[in-house]
Amino acid sequence: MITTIENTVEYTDSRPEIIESMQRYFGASPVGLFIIGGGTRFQYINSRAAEIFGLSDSFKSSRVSLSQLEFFFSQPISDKIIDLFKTGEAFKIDRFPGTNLNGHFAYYCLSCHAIFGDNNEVSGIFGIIEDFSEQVKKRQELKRKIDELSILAQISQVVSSALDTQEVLKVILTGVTAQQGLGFNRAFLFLLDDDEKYLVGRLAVGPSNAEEAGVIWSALAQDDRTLLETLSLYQSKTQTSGTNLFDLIGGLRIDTTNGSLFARCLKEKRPIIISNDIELDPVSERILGCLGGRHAALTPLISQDRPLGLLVVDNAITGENITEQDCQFLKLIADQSASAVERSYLYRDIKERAIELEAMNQRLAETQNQIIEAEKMSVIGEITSAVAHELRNPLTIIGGFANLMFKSLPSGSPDAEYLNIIISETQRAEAVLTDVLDFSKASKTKDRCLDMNELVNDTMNMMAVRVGNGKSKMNLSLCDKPLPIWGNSDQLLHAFYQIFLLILQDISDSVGSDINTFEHQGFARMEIALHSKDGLNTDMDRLLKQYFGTGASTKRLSMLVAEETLKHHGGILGFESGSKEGPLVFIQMPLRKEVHDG
Amino acid sequence: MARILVVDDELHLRILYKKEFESEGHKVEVAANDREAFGAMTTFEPDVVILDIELGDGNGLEFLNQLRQNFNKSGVILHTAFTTYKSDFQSWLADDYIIKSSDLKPLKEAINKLLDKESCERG
Repeated sequence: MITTIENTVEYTDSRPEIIESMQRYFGASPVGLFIIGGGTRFQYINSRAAEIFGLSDSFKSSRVSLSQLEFFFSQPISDKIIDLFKTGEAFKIDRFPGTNLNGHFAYYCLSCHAIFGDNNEVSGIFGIIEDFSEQVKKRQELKRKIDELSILAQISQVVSSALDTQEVLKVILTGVTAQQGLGFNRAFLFLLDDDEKYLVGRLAVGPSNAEEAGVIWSALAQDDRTLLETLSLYQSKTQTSGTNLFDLIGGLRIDTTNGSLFARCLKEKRPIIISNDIELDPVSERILGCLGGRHAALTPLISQDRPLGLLVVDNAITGENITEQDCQFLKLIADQSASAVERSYLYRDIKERAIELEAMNQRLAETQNQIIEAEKMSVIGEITSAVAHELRNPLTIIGGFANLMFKSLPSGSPDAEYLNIIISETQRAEAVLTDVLDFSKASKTKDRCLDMNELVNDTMNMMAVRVGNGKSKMNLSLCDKPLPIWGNSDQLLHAFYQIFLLILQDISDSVGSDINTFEHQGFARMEIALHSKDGLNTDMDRLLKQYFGTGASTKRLSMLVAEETLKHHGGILGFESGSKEGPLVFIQMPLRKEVHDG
Repeated sequence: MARILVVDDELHLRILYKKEFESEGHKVEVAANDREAFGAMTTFEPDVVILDIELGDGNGLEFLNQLRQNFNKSGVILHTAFTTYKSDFQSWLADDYIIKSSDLKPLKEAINKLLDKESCERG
């Protein structure tokens, strides 16, 4: 009940000419004007003021008292008006809420001034009343727009610095769900597959149930981070919360040709709000069932008029309504995000191409080296071949005439021994020429994938022909799986054969040899371990050192040619001596990754 | 006894083969190049031609082709320091392919095999 002074103090009204002037000049003013006269009764109320107070015509014709507007003016305001009669000091209340006689709620601005009579006493109060609701509404709208722009700017800022697709997606969903951002409870992101036929679940952010929401949101509330800080934090952070939620969409594939709401959203390139009253197609019903919410908003990710995916948000935990306004802002974020996603795709493609290019350059460099090496070997082969042929004719002549002379010698001639030496040495030289020619011939065949086991086997077969099986005790143990290596089969076979021959032809029958092949640290390895039955390993060491030392001998030369061939194929020929078990010769060739092609 | 024509650009080899085969009772003519050899084919009518492949200016394989077109009765043994020509299809026109060696046994065996074959064909 408003306390008034109307019954205790007598006041005189303002002069009638003032009222008349007010009505004449301000009756139709868009600003609400009124005059309160004696007894705190309204002496004059213009149309706008009457409208603001919600007064009907019947009220307007009678003199309404201040107490009749108690629903409008709260007690403090009424007190101020009454005080004005006493003090004559004007006052202004910028913004106060009020409900008029029609029940309309609004924010108002009130300004009251004293009207002085002839004896300088307050004879009335002149008041201005204005409805501030529109301004407040506009201000709120403006603030909302500024907030949205700020959110958009912050998301854009973080997203623009991210190049990895996964990071971009995380920023988008964090921005959509963060309380400082769009504040949706949950967000799911689907991206089109390479064939652009299916939407595939890629990322989900938010709690999977109310309990989890309580934990996560209360933790986040204590953080007091800005949106920018939150986005930056979650950009590179491995997702721990929301993992359960991702399980919901991890295996989800949505056919974009089946006419579901999801497919329609993508096709029509516009957001769709799925409210509770909308009738669902079976596919959408099933998908929403998987996500665990009936009310959601779908927004397509469109970049340069090309759909990339779909952003799905809901308020499944709080049950809050999703408005058209929310959806419009979501669309704005989605458009911005789509460009970032597209850019991350481009970055990924460029990165992949760069890696491919690097690998190609590497292969090119390797091939160039191989060509250079092959050219060198080819030139060596040609020179060797030419030299060998030039030597063969004189050797044939020397040996041939020696044979002829030998036959014509009388029996018992002392020259027969010398001729025999000439003949046998000529034949030995011819044998070396044959080996050299075999090598030059081998350089003409092409490189291919070989199995070291087969190479060793072939070598052993050739050895059997040349030195016989019973030369020494050879135990062969081949790796139970293929050992693929790359190279020229003729060259490598010749090199293996030379090495086997040189090592095994000079060792005595009392020496045994274990020949093993196996895989060793990315290499195919073959070992020939020699062991003397009588324990004279030092003799064997000495014997082998003539092949691996620095001396110049025919055998050392042959071993060098074989070693060069192995080196040319990226291999190693090695010798380990001094061990109690006996000396060890090994060949190591790089293992080829490709499947053995025979 | 057979008539053997040795075609080789190496003088000393020509001397060697002439002496060796004559000592075994054959009648031997020698030629240093394909022109001389072509003349000898008409006048000497050899049973066996021992033909080198690298003949200085000439090519033994091309000459072999001419021999097969004009003198089909003579047997031809390609006798060379090169193993690589063995896979050349032109060398398939020859009856045998022997690598030069101070040991003349393989060459002599090839000659005898060819002569045996010719005598069998004559009946």
